[in-house]
Amino acid sequence: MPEVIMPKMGDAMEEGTLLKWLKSEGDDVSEGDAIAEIETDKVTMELEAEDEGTLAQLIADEGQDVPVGEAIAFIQGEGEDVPERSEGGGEAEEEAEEGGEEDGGGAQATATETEETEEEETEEEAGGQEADGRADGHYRASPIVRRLAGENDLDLAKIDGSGPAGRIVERDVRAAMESGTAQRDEDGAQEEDVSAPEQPQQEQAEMQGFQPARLPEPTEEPGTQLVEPTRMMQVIGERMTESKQHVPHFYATVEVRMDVAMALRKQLNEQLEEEGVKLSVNDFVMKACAVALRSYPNLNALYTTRGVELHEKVDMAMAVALDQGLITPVIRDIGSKGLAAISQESKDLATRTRDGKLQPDEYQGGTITVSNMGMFGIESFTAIINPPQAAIVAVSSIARRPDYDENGEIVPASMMKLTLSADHRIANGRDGAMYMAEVKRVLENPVMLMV
Amino acid sequence: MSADNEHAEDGGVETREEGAIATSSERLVDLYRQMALIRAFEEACQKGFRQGKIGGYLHVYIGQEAVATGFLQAFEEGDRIITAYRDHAHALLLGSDPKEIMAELYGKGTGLVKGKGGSMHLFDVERGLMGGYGIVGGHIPVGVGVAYAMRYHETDHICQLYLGDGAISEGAFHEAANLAGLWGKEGQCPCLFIVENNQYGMGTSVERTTAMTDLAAKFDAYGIENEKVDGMDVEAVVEAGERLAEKVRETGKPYAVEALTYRTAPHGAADFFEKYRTKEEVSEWRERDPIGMVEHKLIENDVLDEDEIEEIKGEAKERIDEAVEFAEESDEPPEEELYTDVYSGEDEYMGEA
Amino acid sequence: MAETKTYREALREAMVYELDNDENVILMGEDIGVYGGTHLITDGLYDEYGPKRIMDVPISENGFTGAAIGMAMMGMRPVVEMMTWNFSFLAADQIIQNAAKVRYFSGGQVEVPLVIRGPNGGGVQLSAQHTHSLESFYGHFPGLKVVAPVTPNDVKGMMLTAIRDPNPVIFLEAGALYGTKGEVEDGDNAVPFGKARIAREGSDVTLVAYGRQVNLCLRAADTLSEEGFEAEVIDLRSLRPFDEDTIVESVEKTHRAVAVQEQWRWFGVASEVAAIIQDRAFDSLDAPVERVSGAEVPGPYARNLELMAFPSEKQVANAARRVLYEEEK
Repeated sequence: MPEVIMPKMGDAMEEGTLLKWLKSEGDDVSEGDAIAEIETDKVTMELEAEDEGTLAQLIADEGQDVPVGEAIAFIQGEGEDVPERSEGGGEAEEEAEEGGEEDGGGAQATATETEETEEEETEEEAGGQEADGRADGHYRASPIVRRLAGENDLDLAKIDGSGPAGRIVERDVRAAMESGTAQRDEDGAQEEDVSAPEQPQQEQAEMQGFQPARLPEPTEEPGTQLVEPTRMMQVIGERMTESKQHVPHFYATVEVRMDVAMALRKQLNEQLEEEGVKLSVNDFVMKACAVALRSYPNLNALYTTRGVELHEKVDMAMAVALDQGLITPVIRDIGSKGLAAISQESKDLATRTRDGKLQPDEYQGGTITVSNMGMFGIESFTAIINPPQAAIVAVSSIARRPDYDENGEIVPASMMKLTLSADHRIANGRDGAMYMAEVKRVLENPVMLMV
Repeated sequence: MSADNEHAEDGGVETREEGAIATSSERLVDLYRQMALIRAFEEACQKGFRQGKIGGYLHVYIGQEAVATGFLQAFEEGDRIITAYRDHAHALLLGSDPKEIMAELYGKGTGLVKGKGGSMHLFDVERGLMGGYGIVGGHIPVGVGVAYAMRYHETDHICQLYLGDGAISEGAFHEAANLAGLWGKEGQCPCLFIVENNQYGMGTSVERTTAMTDLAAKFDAYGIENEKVDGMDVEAVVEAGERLAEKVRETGKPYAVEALTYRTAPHGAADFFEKYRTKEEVSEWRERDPIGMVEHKLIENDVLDEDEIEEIKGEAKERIDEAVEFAEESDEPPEEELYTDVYSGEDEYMGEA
Repeated sequence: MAETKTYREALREAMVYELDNDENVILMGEDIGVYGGTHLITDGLYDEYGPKRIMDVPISENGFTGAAIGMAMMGMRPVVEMMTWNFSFLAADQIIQNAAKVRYFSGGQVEVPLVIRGPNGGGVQLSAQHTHSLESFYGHFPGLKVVAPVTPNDVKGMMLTAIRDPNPVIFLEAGALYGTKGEVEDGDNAVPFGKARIAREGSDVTLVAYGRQVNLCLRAADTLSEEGFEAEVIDLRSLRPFDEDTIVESVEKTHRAVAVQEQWRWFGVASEVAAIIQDRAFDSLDAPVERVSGAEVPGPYARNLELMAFPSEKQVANAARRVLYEEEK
C-alpha cells in the first residue's frame, strides 16, 4: 500500500512539520489532491497525493515534526489491506466495549513497564558496548559544548552528537538550545552535570548508579532492523526516564469486585442506548477515582518549584495509545460530570487523539492520570507517574474467578486489579492505601458514582 | 722534543737578538708579579674544581702566562680583547677584580657576568674584554667585526684577537682571516691575531691536524703579515706585542703572531694528561716555564732575592685567597636573574616565567 | 598617505630610510653592492652610499655574519643579507651561538642590534637544498627575534622596527612575493613586533598563518565563504615575540582553528599555535585544532611533486571543513 511520506523540499531540509490534515481517514483521494499542509523552515505548502485510493491511516499528528522520508499516512488502493495496527478508529470502540476505554500498543509499554523490568534493562545496558559517544559515562563532547552545557544548564544526555564517534559538537548543542529539548530537570542538576568542571561529580554519580544509560552501537547484523525513534518516542522516553529516575514512586494495589458495577453498567447502557451512549468500564473507574479524591485530595496535586499544589477540581488525564507513542488527553473537572458525559467526552477525545486533531490545551494540564490495559487481558501492571502529577492509576482486566461471598461461600466473581503509583514526595503510603481502599469501596458500591 | 718544539725554539731565537730586550728591572718585576697572580689564580681554580665548587669546564692558563701578559702590555684604553674559553688571564690582566672572576667561576651573583657565563665567558666590556667564547673558532669572525667597527667609527683602537692552534682548522678562522685581509687592504681592520700555539688542540698535537704546521704562515694565504714569537719568554712577547700593536694601530691592517707556548697543565681540569704526551715532554717544557725563567733571571741579576720572590708569590696568593673567600661567601644569583639579559630593551624576556 | 609599491620596493625603502637616519646602519651581503643584489633589493644603493655602507662580502656566511655580530656589539647596526636563508646554516653557529646568546652569557654587558634578512621558503622549483622555511628553526632560540611579513606595508614597517631593535632579528621575507604590490604608508610606518594582523575577519573558523601562506588562507576563506562559512585569517607576522592574545581572542569567537605553515609539520609553528590554543582557549574549542603543513620530504624539483609538497588552498579549505564538521571536498 502506498505510503505518503514527508517530502524533501529543500537541500538542507531534514524534517518538516505537519501543520494540518486536509483530508480525514477514510476519505477517497485522487492523485494531485491536497491532503495536508506541510511547513519547513522555509516554506509552507500543500502536500498532494501521488496515488489514488482511500486515505487509510493518518500516522502523523498535526503539529508533529516528521523527518524527511518518514511515512505520515497510507493510501489504500482497491483490494489492498490496511496495514496491521493495534488501534484505529473502529477498533478502539470495539475494545472500549470489551474492557473499558483503553490504551494499547507497544508504545504504551514505554510508560508502563514494571520497575523490575526497567532495572534489568539498565543493568544490561550498563554492561554493554562502549562504542557510543557517551561510553563510560563520559560524553564525547567538544570543550565548547561542555562549557555551553554548564552555562545553560543543559543535559548532554539528551543531545545526540553529530561529530566523529558521536562527539557532541557546538551545532548540536545550539540546535538543542533552540528547540529547548536538552534542558536539565531541576533535580538532575545535582546528579549528572556533565559540564567540564563538574566532571568528578559525574564520576561520583556514576558510582552511585546514576550514570546515563550506556547505549551500544547498532550491531547491524543480518536479521536486524534499525528503527529510529520518532520525535514523540523521544519525548516520551525522556519524560518517562526523567520521572522514573527522579520521582520516588510507591505502589498500592487493590482488587475490586466488579459484579455490581458491571450489572449497573449493563442496565444503564440499555437505558441510554437510544441516546447513543455506551458506558465503558473505564468510565466507571475514572469516575470512581475522581469521587475518591474528594476524601483524599492530596493525590490530586502537582509537584511544583515552590511546593505541592493541591487542586480542588479533578482534571483527569487518560492515556491513549498511538502507533508510535501515546497521548494523555484531559477530561476537565471530571468530578462534576456524570457518567454519560464522561463517556461521550472520553470517546471524543480518544478518537480525535488518534486522528491527530487534539489541540494542545486538550492534552495539557491534567492533575491525575488513569491508564487502562484491561483490554489486553493484563492481570496487573504498574504505571509511571506523569510529572508533575502526584499519581497514576493502572487499570487491569476484569477476570471471572471464584471468590468468597460474605457468608464464606465460594461464588463466581468479576475481579479487577487497580494499582496506584504515587509520588512519595507528595503523599505517603498510608495516603495511597486509604485512597485506593476508597476507590474500591466506591466501585463496589457504584451508587456512590451517582452522587 | 717534537719538530714543532724545535721550530718553536728556532722561532724564539729568531725573534730575540742578544741584548735586544733590555727590559728594565722594575718592569720585569712587574711582569713577574702579573704572571704570579695568574698562576696563583689558576691553581686556586684547580683546587676549587677538585672540591666541586667550580662547575662545568675549566681551562687554566698555567704555562702560557707569558703570552697574554706580554701582549696586553700593549693594550691602550679603547682597545678591545676577544678570546676563546681559556680567558681568566686576559680578564685579570685587564684589571678585572679577581674576586668577581672567582665568584663567576663559583656561580655566584657577584660574578663578573652575574653567574650567567662561568669560566668560559668572562666579559668586562668596560675594561675592553669583549668576551671569552666557548666554541672553537666561533669568536674569530666576531673579533674581525669588532676591529672593523673601530675603523668604521674612525678611532685608532685595535682589537687583540686571541685564538688557539686548534682554531686554525676551523672554517670560521679561514673566513674571518680572509675578511680581515680583505678589509685590511683599505686599512679597515686593525686586528692583531695572536695564535696561542700550545701544541695541542685538546689531546691532538698540531702535526696530527695539519700538514703545514707553520701556523703563522697560514695567514699568508689571506694577505696578512705574520711572524712568530717565543711564547714562553715574556720579554720577547712584550717586545713583539708593543711593536706589532703599534703597526696595526697605524696601518689599520691586520697582523698575525704565532706565540709558541705550552700548557703544562691539563687541557681541562678533567683531562687524560698522559695519553697524548709524555712526562718527559711536559717536564722539559716546565724547564722553560715562563714564570720560572723570569724568577731565575731576577735572582741571577740580583734584582730580587728568594725572600722577595716568596713575598710576591705570597701577595699573589693572599689576593687570590681573598677572591676565593669572596666567591665562597657570595650569594648565588637571585632567581629572577634567570629571566634577565635574554633580550635587550623592553622584551627582556619572552617566555613564561 | 600611501602609495602602491612592490614588496621589493617597500623593503628597500625601509633600509634607505634607516641608512639616512642612522650612520651606524650598514648593509652587507653577497653581491648586494656592485651587482645590485641577486633579488635587486639593494639595487642602486652602492652608488648612493658607497662601499663602506653597502658592503659586498665574499661567499663566507659564517665569516661575515660573525663579523656583523662583532660590529653590532660595537654599536653598529648591520643589516646582513642572506642571499637565501638556505645558506644561513653555514652561519648558524654565529647566529645561534653568538648573536642569540652573547647578551645573556655576558651578563647583559653587550647587545647585538643586528638584522639578518633574505628570502625564505620554496615554491619555485629550487629543489631540496634551496627549499626551507626556517621560522621554527630560528624561532626555537631565546635571544633571537623572528618575523615573517607578507604585505608590502608590513615588510617596510617591520624592517624599520627590526633595524631599530637592539636585538638580533631574523627577518624572513616572502621571497616568492618580491614583485607583489600593495599599499605602503609613506614615511615612518614602523610596525611593532609581537602583534598579529587580522587579514580577514570572520566568525566561523580561524585560519592562522604567516608569510606566503596568509595569501593561501585568504583564498581558502573566499571558497569557504561561498559555502556559508566566514573564516578569520590571522597573519602572525611576528613569530618571536608571538602574539598569543590575537589567536586566543579569535578562537574564543570562532571555536575552531586551522594553523597553516609551509615548513614541515613536526616541531613547527603550527604545533605551537595548536598548543597555545588548547592551553588558553580549551573551553572555547569545538574541534581539535588542525595543522596544514608541507609534506615530510626534502623539497622536490618536479613541478607536480613540488606542488604536492606544499600546503594547498584545497588542503586548507578541507581542514577548515573538518573542524566545522562539514564534508570535505
